[in-house]
Amino acid sequence: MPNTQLPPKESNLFKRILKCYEQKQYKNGLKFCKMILSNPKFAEHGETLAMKGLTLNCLGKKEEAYEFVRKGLRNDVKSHVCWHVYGLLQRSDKKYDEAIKCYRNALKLDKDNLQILRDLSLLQIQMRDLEGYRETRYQLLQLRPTQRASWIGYAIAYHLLKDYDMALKLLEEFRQTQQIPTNKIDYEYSELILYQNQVMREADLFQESLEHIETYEKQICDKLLVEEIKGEILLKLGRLKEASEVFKNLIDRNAENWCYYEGLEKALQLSTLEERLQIYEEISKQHPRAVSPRRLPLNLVPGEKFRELMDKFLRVNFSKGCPPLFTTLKSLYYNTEKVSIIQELVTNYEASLKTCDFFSPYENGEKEPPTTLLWVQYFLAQHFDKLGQYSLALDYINAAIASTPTLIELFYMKAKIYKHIGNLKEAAKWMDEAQSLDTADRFINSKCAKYMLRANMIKEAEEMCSKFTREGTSAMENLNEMQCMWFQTECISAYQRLGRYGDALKKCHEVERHFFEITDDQFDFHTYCMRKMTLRAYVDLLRLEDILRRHVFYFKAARSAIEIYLKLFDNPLTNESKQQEINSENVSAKELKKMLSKQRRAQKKAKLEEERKHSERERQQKNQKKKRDDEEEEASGLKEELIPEKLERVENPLEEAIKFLIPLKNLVADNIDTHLLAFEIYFRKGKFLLMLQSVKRAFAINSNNPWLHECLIRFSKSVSKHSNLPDIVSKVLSQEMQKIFVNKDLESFNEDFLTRNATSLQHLLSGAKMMYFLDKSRQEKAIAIATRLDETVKDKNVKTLIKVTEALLDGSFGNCSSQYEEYRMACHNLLPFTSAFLPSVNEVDSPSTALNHTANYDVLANEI
Amino acid sequence: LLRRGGIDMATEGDVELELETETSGPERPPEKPRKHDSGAADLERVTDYAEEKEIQSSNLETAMSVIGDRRSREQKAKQEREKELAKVTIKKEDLELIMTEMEISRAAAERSLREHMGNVVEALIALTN
Repeated sequence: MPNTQLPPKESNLFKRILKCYEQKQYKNGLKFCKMILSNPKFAEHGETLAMKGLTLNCLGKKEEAYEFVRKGLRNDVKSHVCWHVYGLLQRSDKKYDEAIKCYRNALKLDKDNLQILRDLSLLQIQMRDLEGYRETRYQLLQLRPTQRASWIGYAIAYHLLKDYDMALKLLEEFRQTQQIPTNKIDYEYSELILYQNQVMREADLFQESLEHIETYEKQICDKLLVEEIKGEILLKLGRLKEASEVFKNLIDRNAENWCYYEGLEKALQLSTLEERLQIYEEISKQHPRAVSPRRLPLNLVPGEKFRELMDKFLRVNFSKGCPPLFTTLKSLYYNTEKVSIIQELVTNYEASLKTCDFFSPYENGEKEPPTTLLWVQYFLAQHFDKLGQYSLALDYINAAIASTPTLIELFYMKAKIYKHIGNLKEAAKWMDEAQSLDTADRFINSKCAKYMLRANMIKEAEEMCSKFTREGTSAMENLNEMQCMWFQTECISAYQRLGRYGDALKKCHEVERHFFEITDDQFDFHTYCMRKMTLRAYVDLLRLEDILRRHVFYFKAARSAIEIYLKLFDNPLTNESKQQEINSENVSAKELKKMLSKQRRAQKKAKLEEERKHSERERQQKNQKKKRDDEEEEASGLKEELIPEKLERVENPLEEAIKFLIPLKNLVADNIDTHLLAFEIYFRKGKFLLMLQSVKRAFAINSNNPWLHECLIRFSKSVSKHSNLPDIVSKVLSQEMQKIFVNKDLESFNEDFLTRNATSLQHLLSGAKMMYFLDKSRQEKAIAIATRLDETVKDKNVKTLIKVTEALLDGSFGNCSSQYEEYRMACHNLLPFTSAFLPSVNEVDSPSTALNHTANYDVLANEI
Repeated sequence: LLRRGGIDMATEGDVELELETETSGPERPPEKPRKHDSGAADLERVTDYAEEKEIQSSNLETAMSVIGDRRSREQKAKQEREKELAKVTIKKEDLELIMTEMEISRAAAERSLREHMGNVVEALIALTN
């Protein structure tokens, strides 16, 4: 065993190595290492070897780093420094569990080592081991009670564990040690006070919190926040008069914040509508240019008063030329009375302005400029689009365009209308027109790219984005680097519709990696925020990271990934899947041979093409790596390249799907789709109790959901087919399913569902599918139900009608190509502009003969 | 971003050396005209080394004693809970059934079984809620 103790000269060198590491002076650190290791007496010194490895890691030389660290550890296995360094290495590779083990080993050898304890605590909070974190922070506090961070860290631990009592005790003790004189303003002290106050409010200690904020008011930098807190607490304490004063002052500061009006209403508790309107009127007089006191009353008043106020509001805004006018009024459109009043008012304006430049024919005074008519027509286009009257909407937008062909908003709206109609190519075309009017506007450029993706024009979309992305890399790559997830999720959907599953999965994994990185990136802020005392922001960050995957981008990527993996499980791709199914009966042996050799040649060509693409990709990547700075850190070694062909031929698609599912189960449990997707996975895995869990949870959210209904029936059928389940499982199943099915047989269960939902096409479709599923002899009746288009059926919109056609094509009703044709024609008569129902030019190309998959070929728009 | 940690710091050494002046460290390079970057340099400074700040106050003893009391109460409560749960008898087959059917870890399965007094049917019903 080589000597682990260094003589004074080398020992000092070693200390300098440590310092260099702290100060990020890596090259100097390596120099010092060399000085020690070049001496043959110390060439095998464990700790120096370990430090050399750690420094190399910071310079991006990962493999060498591991070599040296491991060597050092082997040479000196009782050194806490070596274990600590190994832990740091593991952590930098995000191997957090391993790192914790190393730290614990290090602590066994040096139990009160501050630095190791600190590093351990960072990992614990990163992994949200809150109890462990609290323990470690307690040890740190005992070792260094004079350090600020010890107190803060310990207090935060209690706060996160919701033990407000303890947290507040600690914070108060700490605050007292700060001894800031009352006339001094110190930003960090201000943040501490605000954090303390936040903890009080979370603990529902409203009285204390009010007294606290009033005591330290003068030393808090964020004066606005102080007022807002006062307002909130006074309301909670029922001191309404004082609260109303506070909110009045807040409105004076900012008359457009709707929360202040809400607070004011709560404080005043006025009983009559007139009194409430009076308040808004007064505020409007004091703030004549504010929009909110004129907009908010529109939410409150009905009938005639609404007409009066709306008339005023509209006129002012049309004259002024306010483009987002419709957007600000959109939230009123749930109320049919208000909608018809608006329609009457605005269509009258339009008619009048066209003839005499006034809002109504019986006026005089100043005439309206021509732009007023423009904005009125623009509004009407949006109005009728919202109501689903697309023909009329197009008329108005075209009239507006005719008068003002240079206004981007108009083309944007025209594109939107076509999107709603279901003609996505036309929509993309008009959005392209819009962006061409201002190529320096990235917003409209992005919108155009999105519309192209909706129309499955992926190449064009990439080209469109490339006008703004970095030079030197492809747009796809740059957008991935920039974590541009709106683009990536739209690509996922586009690839999915085109059946390009490998490409779609690649993007799904890219999005998942972004979320991983965003979670990972919080690591450095555990120390940084405590040092800078930005504690409220820090706790907010932790809470955000806790629920990060609740974000819709993750949900979209996860949902698509699961759907694709399910399809790949049902219809796996083989290596010959590019081959057509040859019907050898109709073809002579000679022709067959010819066909096969032709296919083999085609396959070979395709394979060579793939290899060429792959090596081209590799070459490009190598070039890019060279271009990158030497100083730049290498991405952690975990990121292997995502290859579409490999992704779509994965061995265990269901397990891959579950990886995407788990965060949804934990964070998006209130969305019924989470559980229904879960059911589809577990159904294919044959996990009955997990199927039960999924349907129970879905049932609790919405027992009448159409997809759930289908799952329930398939579930029940499957249970009755499997007679050899373990006793315990059967017991649980029968007991729990009883609560859902209530002794009904499946046919009656389905009949009830159909009767209950006789006017909803979505539900009728599901019920009809299940009718056929339970009894194939009832095919005619089932199809008849699904293809109903009579007056009583309410939701005959583009989306739902397309769903029915898909079901007719994908085998849900067996063979029914003639019924499909009939139905398609009927839909076409109903919605003549929608592409999905236009007669296809070549019947052979119709979606039903698509290769590789029979289930659910998603034609065009899913989400409108 | 590379994660960093500090090692226990000692003070100055005695050895004189010719050092390269590296650009990272306490002295900042002159401000280059700012191009549009992704803020990488600013992010890098988040992990710069900084001394921990100290409290000037003297009497921390009372505070520490309050904490000490609290902690021993917490430990005791936790131990009692664990003792209660450990008393429950559970069957190995039941545990394995739960793990297979519900695809959860051994620890989670065991906890659930103990909390339902070893009744596997009730544990499973609760788990499917």
